[in-house]
Amino acid sequence: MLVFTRKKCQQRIEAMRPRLYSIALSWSCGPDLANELVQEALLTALDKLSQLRDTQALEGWLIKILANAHHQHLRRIKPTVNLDDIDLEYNHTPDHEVDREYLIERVRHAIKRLNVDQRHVLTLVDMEGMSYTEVSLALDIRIGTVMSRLSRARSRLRDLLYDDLHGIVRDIDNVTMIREVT
Amino acid sequence: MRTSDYVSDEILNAYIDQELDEIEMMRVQVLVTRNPGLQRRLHVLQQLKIMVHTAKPEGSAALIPVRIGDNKNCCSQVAFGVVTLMFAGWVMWALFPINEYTPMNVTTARGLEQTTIKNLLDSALNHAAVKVVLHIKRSDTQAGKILFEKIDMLLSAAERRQIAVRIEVLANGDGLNLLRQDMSSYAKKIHAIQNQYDNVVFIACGDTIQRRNLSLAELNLFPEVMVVTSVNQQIDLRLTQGWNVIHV
Repeated sequence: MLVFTRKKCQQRIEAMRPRLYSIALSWSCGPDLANELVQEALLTALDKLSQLRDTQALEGWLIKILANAHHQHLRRIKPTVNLDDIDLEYNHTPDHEVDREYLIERVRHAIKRLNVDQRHVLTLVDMEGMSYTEVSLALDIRIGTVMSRLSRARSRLRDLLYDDLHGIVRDIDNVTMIREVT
Repeated sequence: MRTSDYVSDEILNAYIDQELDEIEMMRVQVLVTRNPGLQRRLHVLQQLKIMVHTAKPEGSAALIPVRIGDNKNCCSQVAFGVVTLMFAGWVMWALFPINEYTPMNVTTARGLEQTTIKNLLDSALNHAAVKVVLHIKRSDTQAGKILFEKIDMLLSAAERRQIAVRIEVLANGDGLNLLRQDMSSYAKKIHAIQNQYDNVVFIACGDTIQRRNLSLAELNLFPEVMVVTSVNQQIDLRLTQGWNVIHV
């Protein structure tokens, strides 16, 4: 019976590969790194399969392993360039501003500038459509932490995409003043 | 604007993510309706959410199958395997405690005796062959499983000890179903045994067939199966000839 369960779990783990790959990509990993992280996560999952007590929680468990793999990768590499110092070549012509693909690239670039914890939460919620509870379980953090990370991520993103959000953001500045008063 | 109307970013985010409970959701809705600043904040957050969602990268994962053997750290898997095998063995032992040393009831010319397959084979050392009748009158899965396990065990143990063995499987009652092509799930097993061994015979009971008012064509027995007038008579005959009878 154990063998059967393990085999089924292995199949379910393998079936999660496309989703994990998509998540890894959304965390601003390139295709090569995404494949590498997913492979590492799947191998780790198989290695630690006996630690999984609730097979229903397999998906969240795999995302957690992937997030850990991503963290470990970021610790291993030492960035020689501060991402905040880089900006996309931005041509302020009307043609480029309406170009959807260009905007998508800017959003991805902005996401890349978020710290990794904020990036994980933001992408899981907005790209993967996961609930706060699911993210909380997957990343092993409290729901309150999910909310605060998400809030900071969107706030930072709002600043980074200031120009793309046109004049709307300028109006927001007046509102945030009220927050400081309260 | 009243400062009590202030809604934190966390709550506003939870609102657009539909993570608030109904009461809180309604409260935010009311505040948003009467507060233009809140409306703008909400609009920006919604825009951001859409932009992030739209920016989801697309691509296909590389097809690198992950299997147990791929794992670099195989120690835990070996341990897992050992535990699994032990568990499986324990389950098999618990459910089907049959081996050469398992006591079982065997009918001989002297009467009912409790013995083991090992003893049966040992007792035959000075004889030409060990002769065993396996009598089955049930057709449930468990009975079929036990029957074929005993056949396998007798054959393998005899082969290992280089002892000649003769086996007759006598089926009557519902046990007949195990020998019917349209009802048995042991077709492959029976064919395999018949192909490999000429010392195993499957025999159906004529009395049972007659009582069920079935023709041989309707019965659709496996081609290897023989039919005797009566299994009970066959058992009696075999007992007088020194056979051992095991009722499954």
